[in-house]
Amino acid sequence: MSTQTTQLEPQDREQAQEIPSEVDPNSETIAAIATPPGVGGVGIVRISGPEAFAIGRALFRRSGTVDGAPFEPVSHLLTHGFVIDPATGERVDEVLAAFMRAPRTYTREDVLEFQAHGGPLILRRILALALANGARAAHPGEMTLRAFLNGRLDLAQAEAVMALISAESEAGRRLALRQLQGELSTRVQQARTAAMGALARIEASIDFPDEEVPPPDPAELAMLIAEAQAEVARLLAGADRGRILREGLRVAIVGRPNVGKSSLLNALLRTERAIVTPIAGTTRDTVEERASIGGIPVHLVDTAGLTPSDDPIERIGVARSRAAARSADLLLFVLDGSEPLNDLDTAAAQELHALNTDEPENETVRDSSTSALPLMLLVLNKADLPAVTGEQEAQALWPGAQVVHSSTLSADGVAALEQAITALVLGGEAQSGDTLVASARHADALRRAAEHLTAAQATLTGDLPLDFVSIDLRAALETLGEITGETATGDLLDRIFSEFCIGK
Amino acid sequence: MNPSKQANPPDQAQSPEITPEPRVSDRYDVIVVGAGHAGCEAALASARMGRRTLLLTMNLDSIALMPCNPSIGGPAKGHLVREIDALGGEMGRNTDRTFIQIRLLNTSKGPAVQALRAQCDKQAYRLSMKFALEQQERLELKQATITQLLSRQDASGKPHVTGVVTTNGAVYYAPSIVLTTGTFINGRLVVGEKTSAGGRAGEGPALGISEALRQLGLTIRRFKTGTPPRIDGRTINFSQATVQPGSPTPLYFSSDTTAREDVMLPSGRPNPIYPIPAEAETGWRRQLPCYLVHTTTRTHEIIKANLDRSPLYNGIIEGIGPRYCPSIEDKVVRFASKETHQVFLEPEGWRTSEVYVQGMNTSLPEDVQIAMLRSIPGLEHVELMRVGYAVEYDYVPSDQLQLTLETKAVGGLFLGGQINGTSGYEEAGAQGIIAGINAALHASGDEPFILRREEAYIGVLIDDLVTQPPLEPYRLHTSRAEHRLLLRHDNADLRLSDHAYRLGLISDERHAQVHERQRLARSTVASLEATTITPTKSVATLAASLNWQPISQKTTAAELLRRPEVRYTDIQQLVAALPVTLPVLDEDTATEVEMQVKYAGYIRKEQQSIQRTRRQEERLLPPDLDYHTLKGLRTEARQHLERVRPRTLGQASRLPGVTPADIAILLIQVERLRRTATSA
Repeated sequence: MSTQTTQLEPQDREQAQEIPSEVDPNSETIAAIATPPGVGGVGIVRISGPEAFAIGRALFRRSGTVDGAPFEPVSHLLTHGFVIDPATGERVDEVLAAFMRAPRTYTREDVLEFQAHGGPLILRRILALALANGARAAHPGEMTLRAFLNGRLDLAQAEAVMALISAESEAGRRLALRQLQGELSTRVQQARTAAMGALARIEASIDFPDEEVPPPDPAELAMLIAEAQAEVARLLAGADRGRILREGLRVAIVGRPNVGKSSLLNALLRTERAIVTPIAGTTRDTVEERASIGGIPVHLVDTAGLTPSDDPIERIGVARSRAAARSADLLLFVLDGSEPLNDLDTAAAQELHALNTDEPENETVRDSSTSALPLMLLVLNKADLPAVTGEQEAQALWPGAQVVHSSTLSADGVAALEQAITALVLGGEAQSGDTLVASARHADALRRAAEHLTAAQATLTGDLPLDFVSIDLRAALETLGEITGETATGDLLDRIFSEFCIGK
Repeated sequence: MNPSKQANPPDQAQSPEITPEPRVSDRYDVIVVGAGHAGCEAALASARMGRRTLLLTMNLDSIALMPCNPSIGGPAKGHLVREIDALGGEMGRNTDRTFIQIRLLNTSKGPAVQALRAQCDKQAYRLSMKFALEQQERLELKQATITQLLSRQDASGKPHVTGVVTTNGAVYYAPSIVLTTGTFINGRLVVGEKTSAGGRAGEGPALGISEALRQLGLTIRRFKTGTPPRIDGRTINFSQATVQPGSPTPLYFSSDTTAREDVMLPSGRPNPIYPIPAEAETGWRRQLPCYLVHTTTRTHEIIKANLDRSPLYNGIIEGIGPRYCPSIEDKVVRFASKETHQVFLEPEGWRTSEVYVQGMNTSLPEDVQIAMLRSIPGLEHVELMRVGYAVEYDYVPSDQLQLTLETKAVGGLFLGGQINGTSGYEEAGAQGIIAGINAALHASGDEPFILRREEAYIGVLIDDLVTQPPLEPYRLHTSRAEHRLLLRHDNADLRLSDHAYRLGLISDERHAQVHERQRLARSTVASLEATTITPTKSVATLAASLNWQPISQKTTAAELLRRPEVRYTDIQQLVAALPVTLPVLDEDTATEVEMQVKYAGYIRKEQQSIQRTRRQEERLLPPDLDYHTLKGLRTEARQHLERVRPRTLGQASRLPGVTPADIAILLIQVERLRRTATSA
C-alpha cells in the first residue's frame, strides 16, 4: 500500500491496533485538503486535533436547522448540511460532515471531515475558513505523522511515513530555495528589516537602560510597523498572481438570469457542459469547469443568477453565486447587449459592489486568495443581435471597467473576450502585483504576520507599555522567519549592537 | 592534620603518579574549585542539600570578588539574581546586606522588564559572602591551587572525575567536581604594550587546568574581556557631574527579610568626598549616588591618535571580546559620528575613594588612559588608582556541556561561570547554583535538575549556552527569552520555590510564605472581580483626584484596574468607603494581582504558545542515540545533532541547521525505538 493512499483513506474502519498511544491533548489542530488537487466528484477537507469539533460546530449547519441552533454531532455518522462562513452567515457549500471522536480515526485524534462537492475553489475556501477559525495548515505529511505517533500505524509503515515527509519537505525546500534566491526573499527581508528596526529600538531601550539609547519614538515605531505592514500587504496581494499562474485563474461568470452566461461558458469551453435553456434560472447551481485560455489555466464558474428568489433551492444557488463571485480573480459581468438594461442588471451590479465594499470588515476571516479585489470585465453578450445597450451604459454599472463584445453563436464570437482575459492576466493590471508568493504556506505565514503587525500597531496606540508591543512584533518576525528560515533573536542582537552604541 | 580524616581513597581512583601516599587526603561528596560568584553559589547549594562540600580557592581574601563594576542586577541580570534567590542562593541576600545604592529600572516599559540594579560596597560584598560560606554547615573552605584532576575510566572508556591534587600535594576525592575558575585559566593581562600572566590585576593565573581538561578530551578556546580604570574620588570635580540618586523607596533583591536587617556596611557616614545633594538623601537607607560625566571630541581625538598603541588594534589581543561591553577604543572607532559618550562614576564602596569609571573600558597604555580621562569635564585633574586592562583567558565552548552543566566527555565534572564563556557576576551565579545542585544530585545518584526556558531566565541562559555556543562572551538579555511576560522578577519565587523546596534549598517557612502569597493573589483577584463600583459623587471625586478618566457607569473593581493608569493601591483607596476590604499587599504580590487582571489576555496567549511546544520539550531523546545511523536525516542536521546531543526534541528543534522535517523524522525514529523496546 502506498503511503499516499494511506494518507487519503478517509477513516480507519479496522479495529485500532493495540499499540500504546499517547495522544497529546495540547497538540495544535491542523487542517488540510485530503483529496488530490484537481476537480473530483467529491473533495475532502480534514481537520484533526482537540479543536476539530469546536471548529466544526462553528462552520457547519445541519440541514433543517436555523443558525445558532445547538448541534451536538454524533460520532462516526455522516450528517448532511452546509459549511457556512461564520463571519457572514453565508452558505459556502452543501456538504456531508463526518465528526469522528478519538481514537477510532485516521490520526487517533478528534477528526472532522467535510465531504464537499464544490471543486478546488470551494475546498480552498473551506480550508481557509478552518484556518481562520483556529486550525493551522498541516505540514507535509503531518496527518500521517500523527497517525503514526499516536499508534495508528505500525512499525513497518514508519519507513513509508519518513519517505513521505522527506519527499514532500524536499520538494517544498526546493521550491522555497528557488523563491529565496529570487525577489521573494528580498521583499520579505524588507518587511523583516522594518519590523526588526521597531523591535530593536524597543529592545535596546529595555535591555540597556541608562545608556546612550534614545527612548523609542512612538511615531517612528508606528512608521516602521506600517512599512512592514505595507510590504506584507503587497506580497499578499501578489500571492494571488503567483497562484493564478500555478493553479489557474478563477473566473466567475455573473449577471442577471438569461443574459447567456451558460452559453458563454460553453463557448469558452467549446463543450456543452451547462444545460442551456431559454428559461431564466435554469442554472440553479454553480457549474465549474477548467479551460485553457491563451495558455493560462482557467477555472470557469458559471453562477446562477444573482436575483433574490423564494425557491429554496434557487436561494442556495444564489448564495453559491455570491461565494463564487467573492472568491474569483476575475468577474465576467454579462449583460444582454440586445436589450436595454433593466432593474435586474442594476440589482446584480449593486450586489457585486456590495461584495467588494463589505470586504474590509471581514478581512480577518477571509481566504488569502480573495485578498485582492477581483478584476472586472463587462461582457456585452448577444453581439450578433442589433445593439441596444452601448458601452457607456454598460460602464455606468461599473465605472472604469473594460467592455468586451461577445457572441456565443459564432465560433470566434468569444475571441475578443479571450484576448481581453489574456491581456488582463499577462499584462497590465493583473501583473502590477507581484507574482512572488506561490506557496499556500507562505501566504498563510504572510497573513499571520499581517495579523501580528496589526496587533502590534493596536498595542502601540493603546497606551500599553512598550514590552507589550514587542510581543506581537516578535511573533510577526518569527512568522516571517518561517519563510526565510531565520530566527528573531540572533538577528535582533546583531541589529541592536550595530545600531546603538551599547556598553558601559 | 587530623589522621582520622585520612580516608581511604576509592580503589578506582588509585593513580600511579601519586607516590608516595599523599600526606593530606580527604573525601567529599562535592568539590568546588574557585570561589567567585559561581563557585560560592555552587558550594552553598551543594552543602544546603546536605552534601559534604569542599570549596577551594587560590586566595581566601578574593572570595566573591567583583573585579569589574561594583553593580549587581539590571535587566535580565536582576531577574537572574531574583531566581537565584528563589532557589535559596546567596547573591540576592548578599547584595541586600552590602548595597550602597539600589534602583528599579524600566519602570515605564512594562511590568516584565522592570529590574533592580544595586551598587555594592565591593569589600563588604566579599567579606559578607565569605562569612555566609563560613556559617554554612557541611561546607569547608580551603585556600589551595589545584594542579591535577584525577579520573578513572568506566567500562566504555569514558573518564569520570574522582578528585583533585593541589600544588601542596594534598589530594581530595569526590564523585562530583565543579570547576568555576573564571578568567584564571591561562589568563593574560594586557595594558598597552605590556602583557603579564594573571587572572585579575594583582593575581597570578591558574596554569595546568587547560592541559588537564584537554587530556580529558575537552576543547579549549580563548576569549577576552576588559575593565576600565579606577580613579581617585578626591581628584574629581563633582560640580561638573550630574547626580544619579538611589531609589527613594525601599527595594531589595531577596525575599528573605533577614538579610535587609543585617546590613554589613562599615558603620557611620560614607566617605565625605562624595556630595549627596538633598534629592539624593533617602530616609529608608543611606545611599551613595552615582555621577554622570561625558567624553568630548578631545577625548576621541586622543584615543584615535593612539590606536596603534591599543592591543586591540595592534594585534596583541586576538581573543574575541563582547559587543555589549566594547572598549572605549571600539566605541570611538565604530560610532565615529557620535560626539560624546556617557561615563558613569560609581563609588566602589561606602568608605573608599576608588571610583569605577563605567563606560571607559580600555586596554590603552597608562599614559593614554590618563590623558583621555583628563579630557573629560570634571576629571581635568584626575589621578588613576588602578589602570584599566584587558584579559585574555581560556574557556570551554559550552556545547560540550549538558543542560545539567556536567561535561559530556567527563562524568562528574561540572563547569560553571566564566569558564563556560559567559560574562557577568549574575550569569556566573546562576550557572553556579545549577552546577552545584546537579553536582550534589550526581554525587548521590539522583535525577538531574533542569529549568526549562519558559520557567526561568536561568533555563534560557543554560539552554542557549548548550544549544548554540556563543561566539563572544555570553551575556543574558531579556530579549533572549521567548516568554518574557511570564518571567518577571516579581514572580521568581512563585515560579521556582516548589523546586527549591523539593531540593531542600529553602525552609518550610519560606516555602509556606510563597504559597500564602499565591493564595492571597488569587483571592484578591476574585474579590476585585466581585466588587462593584457605582459612580457616586465620592467615587467621582476620588477618581478626579487620582487623575483618572471619569467613571460613567457601574463597573467592577477588576474592570477599573484594567485601565492603564490605575494601580492596585488606587483601588484600595476607592473601596475604602465601601463595605469591602481588599488586603494590603506587598509590592510583588500587588504586581502579581495587577498582572493577572490587567494583562490576562497577553498572559493567556503566552501560555497557549508554551502549551503548543510543551510536548516537544518533554520528549526526551535517548542520550546514546546514534545519529549517524538514523535514516532520513539530512547530513547537516545529523552533524549538529551528533555534536550537541540534545536532551529533548525541543532543544533539537533550536539547533541551527535542523529543520521541521528533521524533527518529524527524529520523532518517528524515537517512537520506533520506543516501540521496539516495548515489544522486546
